[in-house]
Amino acid sequence: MTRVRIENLVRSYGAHAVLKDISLDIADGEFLVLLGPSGCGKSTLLSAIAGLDQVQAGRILFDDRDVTRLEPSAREIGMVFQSYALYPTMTARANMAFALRVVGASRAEQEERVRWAADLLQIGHLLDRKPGQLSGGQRQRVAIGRSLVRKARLFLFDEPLSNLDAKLRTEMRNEIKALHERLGVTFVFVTHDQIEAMTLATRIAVMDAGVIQQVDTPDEIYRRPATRFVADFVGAPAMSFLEGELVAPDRVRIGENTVAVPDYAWRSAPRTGSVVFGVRPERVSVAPVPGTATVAARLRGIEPHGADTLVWAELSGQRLSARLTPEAAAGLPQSLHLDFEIEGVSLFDPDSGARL
Amino acid sequence: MAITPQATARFVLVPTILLTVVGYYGSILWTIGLSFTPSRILPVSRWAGLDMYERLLSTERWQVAYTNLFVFGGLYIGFCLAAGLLLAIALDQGVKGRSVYQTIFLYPIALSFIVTGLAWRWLLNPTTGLQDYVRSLGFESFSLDLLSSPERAIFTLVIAGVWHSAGLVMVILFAGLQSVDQEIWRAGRVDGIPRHRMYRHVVLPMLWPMVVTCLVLLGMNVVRSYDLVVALTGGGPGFSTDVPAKFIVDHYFERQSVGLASAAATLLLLTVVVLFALVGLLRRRGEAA
Ligand SMILES: Nc1ncnc2c1ncn2[C@@H]1O[C@H](COP(=O)(O)OP(=O)(O)OP(=O)(O)O)[C@@H](O)[C@H]1O
Ligand SMILES: [Mg+2]
Repeated sequence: MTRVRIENLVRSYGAHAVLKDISLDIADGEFLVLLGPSGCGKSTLLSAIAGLDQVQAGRILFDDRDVTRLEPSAREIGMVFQSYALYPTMTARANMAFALRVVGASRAEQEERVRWAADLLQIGHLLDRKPGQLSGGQRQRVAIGRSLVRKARLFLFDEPLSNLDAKLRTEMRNEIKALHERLGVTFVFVTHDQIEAMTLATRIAVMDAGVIQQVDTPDEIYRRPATRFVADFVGAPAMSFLEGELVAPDRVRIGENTVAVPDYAWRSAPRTGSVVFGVRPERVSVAPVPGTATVAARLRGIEPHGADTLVWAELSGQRLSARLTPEAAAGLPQSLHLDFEIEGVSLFDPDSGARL
Repeated sequence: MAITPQATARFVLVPTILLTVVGYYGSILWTIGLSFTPSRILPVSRWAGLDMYERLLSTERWQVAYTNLFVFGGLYIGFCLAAGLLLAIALDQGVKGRSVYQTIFLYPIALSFIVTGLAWRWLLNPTTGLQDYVRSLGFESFSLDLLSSPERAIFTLVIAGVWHSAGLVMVILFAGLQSVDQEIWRAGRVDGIPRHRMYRHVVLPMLWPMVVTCLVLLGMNVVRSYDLVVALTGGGPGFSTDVPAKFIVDHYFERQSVGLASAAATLLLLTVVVLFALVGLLRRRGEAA
């Protein structure tokens, strides 16, 4: 059972700062997902939590105990690596029992712990195989099993699912989630896959270029992204961004059109001036006739996705997308009347990118 | 008729195949045949049964040479592997100036056994080499006279051989160590496995195929150690450092006992075949493991 507290962590390679003053609190029993694009420093942050990488400044506390200088093995963690990192010449059983064997645990104890983990992951029948004789998904399970065998109070996963095919990925995702519920210990999980993040996390920390942009529940991250980066990174199809101007706190002018944002939940003080108007595609609809709240746009393209259809439109020279049912998207005229639901709208400061 | 690329390829290979079949396998068969004849200076085709083998096995010089093959071979391979492995691990641990050391230790491989033998002969020569140098520094009683002792001269071969070949083992094993996924080391650290146990239980078993490769390369050096012996000790003092290859060459070309030499060559071939079959077994076991 572990609370993790990260205070002002700094890590750089030469002049290249990879972690820039990171602070983060992870509650006991939480499933925290570190989400961000490739190279943003997720693995580096995870390694720092594990103790595999030294940091240049800052502290890491587990339950108020400073572990910044402790070796990984002294931190009571379990870790699953992207490449699985199984010991290739040992059987699955030996892989899982190795750490116990090294500390001199009795055979009975080793066997009992391996049994327990193997039952939990349903890999009992694979224990006598070597990693080379296992499929990707089975290796993944053995790797998780190995991290479970030693009693750990914090589990770290570095993109554990990225080498699996789509179907297996979904399966393992559910399994990891079930495992978290079953064990009730803290999980920190790195991924650049937003679906993984959304489905697994109790909270998501979105990172970009060595900085944490937002830490919130998946729902909050999706509905009220704190920065333009988060809004852009999370959500598929992506949010559309239109440059405009707040002519009044409740009206945005985009080119020759004016969009009313009457009930916008302001995070900062309502203001006027230039603004980035963001809208989720599923919150854009096509009205049959022009109304008081609709804006005029031209149809630019149609992308069927099966379950729904993405409609591209142009509004005063700027592109945006609407996610419609295939029926609604069928036979659209060239000139459209678009309607925005206020729940799907986010306003950002054009300079800082912060949510308004 | 059109000539396919495959046919052209086969045609081009014909001389090579002929050369191999006639040059290697033909010679081997001929040698084996000769070992059953009483040939002296020139081959004769009279059947002599196992006479030559009986004579060979009772020849003291052959007994010494054959024993030396295993003494020299065992020590040479053992020390090369041990030294090469330690050097490779040292490099892998991130010694400063890694590439400099790599070059220094690899350099001897560029020399032939002849040059290696000559260099060590000078170095170990009591009147011109190390002994003389150390004495000139003031240690008058220093004595390093391995070459003239029949019991110890064989070790000079081992020393020179290891000096020559340890670098090769180092480079091969170092490449193997470098190819070990860093995440495996990280997993070991999270698991709390000490470094030496990681090497012993995880990394070295992964390197097994490369160890077998080294074994084969070093084994071939042992079998053809003729030039090292000739340059360093000349087989002496007496014939205390003789090896089968030298025994065979001497008997073919100097002592005019072609039949005896052929019997020795056949025995050597048999030994090599048996040893390499063992290595093949080792390799297969490594793959299964
Ligand atoms: N040993 C190193 N030396 C120099 N730079 C490094 C080193 N390790 C990582 N970096 C740099 O640190 C940055 C962050 O790396 P990190 O591995 O944490 O990214 P990541 O977010 O995990 O990316 P990915 O999703 O691709 O795994 C990258 O720009 C990388 O180039
Ligand atoms: Mg990474």
